[in-house]
Amino acid sequence: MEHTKHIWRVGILVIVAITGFVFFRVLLIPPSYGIRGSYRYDNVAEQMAIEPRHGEVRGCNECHDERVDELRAGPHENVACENCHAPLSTHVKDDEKEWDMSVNKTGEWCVRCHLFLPARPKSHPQIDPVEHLVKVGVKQVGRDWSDVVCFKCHEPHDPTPEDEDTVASGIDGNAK
Amino acid sequence: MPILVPEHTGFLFPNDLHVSWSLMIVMYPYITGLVAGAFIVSSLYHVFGSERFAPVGRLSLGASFCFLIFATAPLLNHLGHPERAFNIMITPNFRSAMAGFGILYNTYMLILALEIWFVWRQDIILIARHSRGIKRQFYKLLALGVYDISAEALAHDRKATRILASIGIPAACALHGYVGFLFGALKSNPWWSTPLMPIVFLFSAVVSGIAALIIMYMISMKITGRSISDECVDGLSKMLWAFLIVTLTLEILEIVTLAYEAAEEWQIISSLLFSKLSLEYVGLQMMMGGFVPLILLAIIVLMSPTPPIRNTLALISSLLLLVQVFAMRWNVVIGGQLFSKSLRGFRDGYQPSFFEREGVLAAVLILLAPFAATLVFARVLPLFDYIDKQAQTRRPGPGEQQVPLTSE
Ligand code: HEC
Ligand code: HEC
Ligand code: HEC
Ligand code: HEC
Repeated sequence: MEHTKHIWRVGILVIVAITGFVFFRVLLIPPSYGIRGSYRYDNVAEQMAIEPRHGEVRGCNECHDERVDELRAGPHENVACENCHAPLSTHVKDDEKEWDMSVNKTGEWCVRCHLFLPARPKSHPQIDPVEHLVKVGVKQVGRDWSDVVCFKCHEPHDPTPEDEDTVASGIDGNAK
Repeated sequence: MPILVPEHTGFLFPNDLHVSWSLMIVMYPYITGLVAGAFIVSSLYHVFGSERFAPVGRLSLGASFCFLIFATAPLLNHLGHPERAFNIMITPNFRSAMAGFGILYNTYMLILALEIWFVWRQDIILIARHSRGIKRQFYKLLALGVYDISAEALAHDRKATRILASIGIPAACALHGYVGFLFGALKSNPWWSTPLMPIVFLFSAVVSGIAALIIMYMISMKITGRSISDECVDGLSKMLWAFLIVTLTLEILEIVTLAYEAAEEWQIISSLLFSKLSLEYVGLQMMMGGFVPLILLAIIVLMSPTPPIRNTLALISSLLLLVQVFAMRWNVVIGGQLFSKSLRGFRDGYQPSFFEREGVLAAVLILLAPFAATLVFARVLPLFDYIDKQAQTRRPGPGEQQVPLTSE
């Protein structure tokens, strides 16, 4: 076959490209890939070696038992502390308090769990925050609740509002 | 970030509150569709030898290539960790529908690149011969160092082109049919899960591809001061009309079947299409984007108007059809996520904002990128310069190398 030099060249180029791809692919496949399925099996051990960051439900008990009792007594009994605070590992190291625990004090935080959503079970207490704040006598605050402090009226650990009078007096929910 | 009181209605499952496949996932089948559509036009010339499509023979290949380069851009922009996209090629799970894309995409890219090389080889060599310095080295490299443009070599090129283009047709169909399959194979969603989905996607892809070509062809003729080939626009319009008829028929048949069966999903789908998406579906996809071009193109086909009128009609219908196909992608991708899996309620609406990462600006930039790339492509490999000459000298003799370069 004459005049096919260019076809040979491009053919070789394609073969080099494909073998190059296959070669690098083989190099890049992690060694333990595929032992138990389409994933890297070594990863299982790596995950198991990671120190847990959260203290789980009872993680705070040994040092904050009064808080725990307080929480257990109210409607937030099933809300774990770390939902509103931060993971235990940001606060305690080797069973000693090492860093301050952060506290999220914005209304957004409460709204995350208490916003009215049709997808939420009816039994869960839900509010439309704009309506709620107007109803309980706080002046209209618009839709940005990063400054609204819900626990002016609701103690976060035991949120059922106890004193109807506080409410009637019309506390300014915006005040910090 | 203000929390907005959401606008959903009816009964939703807790995990289906939001639309998570954004505008970018609308762009992805859209751009992939333009690839397939442009390629199929180029095949009409390169495989079936329809001479009337010669003027867009190269443009369609170049455009297809440039669209292909950017077909993954919206996906990568959507991913939180774009670099992990390569894992799907290094360690594909062959039972995953998503993994198919890497294989189809790369196969198609290879075929297209080879075909482009064979089609442009003669030009590459001629340019290399007529230039010096770095430019010459660059084109010499592109030519892989072989300067053979004898009649036999060119005959081999044509044969190779034909073979590649004919492998390319099923590859293009597979690439885009696959995108439709991704949606069609999601059995949890009655608006997506139909075996017709890949076919509808494929045909509307061809429609959008032809429409984009007509627009690009007319604009490039205008810019470069050439005259528009009547035959070519006429042929493209007829083809566009034919594919549009099939596309609309399929799209309507799908709805008619759903409506007539009136199974449990029809309740939600009908209120999705005729109230939630009435503008996008009835207005854009069916009326403005579907029936108006259908009539405009029918005027071209049936009444053979004078060239200026025909060109205007073709241009308007192409623009409308680009909108139609985009609306169709939107209605499928976004529409399919608007209702809950409960089939009894609607999620929050979806409106991309302008500046966010997956917003309108990003979409516009990603859509413009292939057109910009086509301009660059045209500077490296001429899209039109040699066409007239080649049409005349189908079998260039040994004197061919003396032909001066028009661009220099
Ligand atoms: C519903 C959210 C929420 C949960 C659940 C919660 N906290 Fe708190 N916690 C808060 C908020 C808000 C503050 C800040 C109150 C303030 O500044 O008045 C706070 C303050 C505290 C304080 C600081 C003492 C104080 O009164 O200023 C401690 C200690 C504390 N929480 C421990 C716990 C422990 C232990 C648990 C789990 C048993 C827990 N919290 C569960 C929201 C919560
Ligand atoms: C090893 C014991 C220990 C554990 C476990 C522990 N804390 Fe504390 N925590 C402390 C000490 C000590 C203080 C400081 C006491 C004080 O100032 O009254 C403190 C203070 C706090 C405060 C007040 C803010 C601050 O940092 O001074 C909060 C809120 C708090 N802890 C939350 C938690 C939560 C939530 C958990 C569980 C995830 C937890 N703590 C687990 C020891 C502990
Ligand atoms: C992690 C989710 C979560 C967060 C955050 C949260 N709550 Fe709750 N809240 C609950 C749950 C769960 C209940 C109990 C529902 C039940 O009784 O079934 C509850 C109950 C309540 C109730 C009791 C309603 C009643 O009927 O007595 C009030 C009031 C309340 N929360 C206010 C707040 C406030 C104020 C905040 C912000 C400091 C807050 N919640 C943050 C989950 C949350
Ligand atoms: C001015 C005091 C006040 C403020 C501020 C306030 N609430 Fe209340 N909240 C009440 C009172 C009083 C009730 C009980 C009467 C009622 O149900 O309206 C209540 C009830 C609730 C309930 C229970 C509703 C139910 O259906 O059981 C939730 C949840 C709640 N509040 C959340 C919030 C959240 C979240 C914020 C912050 C955005 C907030 N509240 C701010 C006074 C207040």
